[in-house]
Amino acid sequence: MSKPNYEKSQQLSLKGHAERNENWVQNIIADDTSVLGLGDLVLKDRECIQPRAGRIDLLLQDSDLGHRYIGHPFVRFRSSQSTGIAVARNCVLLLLALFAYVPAGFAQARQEVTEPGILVNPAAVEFSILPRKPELTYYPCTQCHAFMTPNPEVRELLSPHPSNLDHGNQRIWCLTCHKIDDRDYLTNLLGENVDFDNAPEVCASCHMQRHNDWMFGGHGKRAGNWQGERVIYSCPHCHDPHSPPIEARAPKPLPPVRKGLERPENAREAHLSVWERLEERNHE
Amino acid sequence: MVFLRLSGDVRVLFQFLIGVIREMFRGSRRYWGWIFLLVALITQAVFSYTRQMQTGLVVTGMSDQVSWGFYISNFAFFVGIAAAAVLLVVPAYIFHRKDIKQVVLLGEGMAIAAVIVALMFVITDLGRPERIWHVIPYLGRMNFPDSILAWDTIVLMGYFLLNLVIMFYVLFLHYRDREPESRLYSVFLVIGMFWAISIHTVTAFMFSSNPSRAMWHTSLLGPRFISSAFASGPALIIMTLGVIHNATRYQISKTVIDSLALIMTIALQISLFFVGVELFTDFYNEGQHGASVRYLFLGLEGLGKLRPWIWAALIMNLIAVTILMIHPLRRNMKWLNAACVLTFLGIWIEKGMGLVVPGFIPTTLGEVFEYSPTSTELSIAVGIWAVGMLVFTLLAKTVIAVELGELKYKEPVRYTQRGF
Amino acid sequence: MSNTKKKKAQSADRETDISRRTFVKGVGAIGSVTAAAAAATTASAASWGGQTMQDAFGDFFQDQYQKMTPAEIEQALARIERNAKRKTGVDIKCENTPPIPGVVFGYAINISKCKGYRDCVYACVKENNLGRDSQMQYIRVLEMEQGTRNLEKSDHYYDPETVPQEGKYYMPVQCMQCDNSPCVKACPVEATWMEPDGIVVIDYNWCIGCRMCMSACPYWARHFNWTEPELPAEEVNPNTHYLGNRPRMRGVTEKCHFCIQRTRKGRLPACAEACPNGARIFGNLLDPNSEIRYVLENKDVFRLKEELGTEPKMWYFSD
Repeated sequence: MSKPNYEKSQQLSLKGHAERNENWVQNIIADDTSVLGLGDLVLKDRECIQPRAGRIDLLLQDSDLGHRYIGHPFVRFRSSQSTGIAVARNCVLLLLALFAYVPAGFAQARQEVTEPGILVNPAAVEFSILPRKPELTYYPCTQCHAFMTPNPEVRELLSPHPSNLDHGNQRIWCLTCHKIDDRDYLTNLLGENVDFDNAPEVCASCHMQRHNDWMFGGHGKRAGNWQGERVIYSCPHCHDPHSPPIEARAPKPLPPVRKGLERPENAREAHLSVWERLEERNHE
Repeated sequence: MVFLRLSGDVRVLFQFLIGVIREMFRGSRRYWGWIFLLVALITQAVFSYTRQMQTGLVVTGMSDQVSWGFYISNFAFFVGIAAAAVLLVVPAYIFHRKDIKQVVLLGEGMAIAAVIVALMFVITDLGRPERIWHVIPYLGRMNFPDSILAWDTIVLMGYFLLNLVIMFYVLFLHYRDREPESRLYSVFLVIGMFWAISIHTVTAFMFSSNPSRAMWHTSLLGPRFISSAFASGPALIIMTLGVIHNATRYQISKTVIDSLALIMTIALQISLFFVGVELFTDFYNEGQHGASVRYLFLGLEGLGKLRPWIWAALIMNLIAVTILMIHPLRRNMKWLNAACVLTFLGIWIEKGMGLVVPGFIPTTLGEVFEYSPTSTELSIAVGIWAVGMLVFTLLAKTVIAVELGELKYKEPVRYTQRGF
Repeated sequence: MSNTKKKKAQSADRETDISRRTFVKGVGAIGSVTAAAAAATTASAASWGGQTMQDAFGDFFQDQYQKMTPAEIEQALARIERNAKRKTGVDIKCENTPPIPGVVFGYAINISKCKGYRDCVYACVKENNLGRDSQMQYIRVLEMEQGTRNLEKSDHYYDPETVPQEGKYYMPVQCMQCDNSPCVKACPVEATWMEPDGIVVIDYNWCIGCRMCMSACPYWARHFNWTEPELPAEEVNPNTHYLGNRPRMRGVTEKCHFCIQRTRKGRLPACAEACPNGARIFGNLLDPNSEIRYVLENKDVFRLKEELGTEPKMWYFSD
């Protein structure tokens, strides 16, 4: 038996490597999409910029089934073994495995929020809700969640998600309101998609009476004029759904007295409520 | 005018007016000293009022919480004094008391002076006094019959003119050595009697018409005003008649004083009875309704600037009524004068600051905020009192001169009478 | 009486009588001193109170608003704009927007939502050109004790670190625009009246400052200008209405007027816009679909001091 050929391991650094970079991986996949082992895929687009949603490095579609895949190749490994294609395949596969299943029609209009059905009272005056999406910092959520596996386990989340959901006293958690398989939408009790601008539909699932008041104007606030088009604030505008109670804050200054006069030192006795007085009497 | 004939009478009237004015400028050293004192007091008030006009009512102690203070307190009190002049008219003409008829003109002079004082207090209290013409009907826009203040303006002006006309009419006739005979005159007198009651009732309504002010919103306020006016009015009249009796040649009959003292006694008793009734109603089952009275007599939230004043007033009135109820003391001028001073001051406190200011404490929103008059307010008030005293002095001087026969119409010597 | 006795009496009289000439001299002396002093004190004040003579006379002889012809009102508006320019250097616009037909304003405040921030108070101060120096505020927020509606137990001057405080609730009070207002009845010169759209307004050029209305008001809604209202030129709100937030003068009463300069153009009053909690609901009582009607018909509303018969147009409710 011949002696095996031992070669000293060398550390290869791809950082700043002129050739072995993400573009090199992209080219490999673009040349022959079958390397991914996902069947015959058609390369739809490379480096396409999404409006307000970052960039997609590779957009691939299964011509038979119509599925689409997004690819974000990374070049990052620690193995000393380096063989071009095999390496590329390994890492790309690893990461592609985490890609979300994207239904067809991604680049076109998504399925809109459920048509208002039983939840909206036709007697209410027509109104429009002040859009909420412009205020959302991380929207659209699929920027990150498109390539993350949905995990339905109830748990504490990491930043940028609030770690503590102060809503409902442990009866609900994030995915009660956020659609698990489409993070750009909320969801109602029927599991339907609800646009972030229609968040009140979700709130109405539990807070029906409040929702009714809000629709008719007994709750909430009108954004604009009392006359004319009725635009009202959405629930999350005032109530952070992750911590709805209104925070206490400092009041504005106390009223002055007439110029030239001073407020007297009123000796105000601490007011005992009826029950406190009765309790006192009971103790005597 | 049925009781005047033509040009001859006009000449007499002219002579009368000249005589009146001349009389006002004639007097002893004491008289002039008094006049100069009053003028000095008025002058210092003019300075203070100028300051108030320029800066605004911020120079007073009033606030949004207590929006009426010393000025309106004095207004309410002096309308009462004006109304009390009727107490001389009624016995003189209805009960045909000849002795009281003597002093009717002086009483009317006092009424005129008191109305002037009251009106001046209202005008100094206004934020924009130059706009006072807004209250004249047709020229301005008077809110009649809704506004009680509009009613008050009408009745006070009417009372002023009524007294002025009656007084000068009678004076003019006395000047010509005649007595009023006309029927129309009696009508005016009767109107005057009812009108006197009405001015003070309307002033009371100005306060009691406000359901927002629990202390004032009582039917008792009208009767309280009348009874306290009929106690403080005669007190002032008695003191003034005493001064006239001692300082001039015009002698006042004791029976006049006795009658006035009797009226004062009864009125003061009724007035104190009303105070007692008020205290019972507010304190027996004490609710929020009695908060103002509690502030006045006992203090509220540790504040009680008016407490010493109201208790002093109550004690003064009680002492006065005790003196007055003892017949020999009431008949003694020294004791009577003391009682008059106590009554006058006591009612001035009780009806003035003791009524107007607590009506605002606590405010309609429950705030307890106090008030005390500033030196500017006091200065202006002193000036207005001086105006009243000056007006009365001048009128009294004329009345006395006419009554004593010093100011008398001298028939011009006719050619035919001269003889030859 | 013999001649000598007569003469003696006469001379005696003459001695005690001070002659008319001396008196006139004395009065003259006092008069001139008074005049000089008065001139000294008023010399510093601008003539005609800072206006031109024409404007001063125009202001003085101006009629009551309801009696003025449209031309006179135009002149009055122009005068106000000129005076403001002279006084503060700011070009304001004074309008006379008429009431919108078919509109009567109503207001509801949700006292379970009001947390006592006082945002409404200061929004009103800014919007309505309220005097900063004269310390005028149309709205007062009361800190009430839980379990009672007793106003005497309320605190007007609460100033804690944060609101809401434990055991308290908050109730803002301002002019209730009563349908049967005691102030309208009490005014002797008709300087205050209710407009067709339900707002109780004041003609500031007609008010004489007698403060009868302030005694009559059960809600402490009317406030007096004890001194000239002052505000810095950069804080002047130039969009004004004759019956609303146009510059006022000392010696007159003023109060909340439901931001007449805004509401008659369809906008919300400043306080309603400012409230971050949506505790204030404003609208047209005659519109069956309005928010205010919904609140009145579906919530447990009450009015303050309703037993006095004032018929206020401001309701309170909680939910």
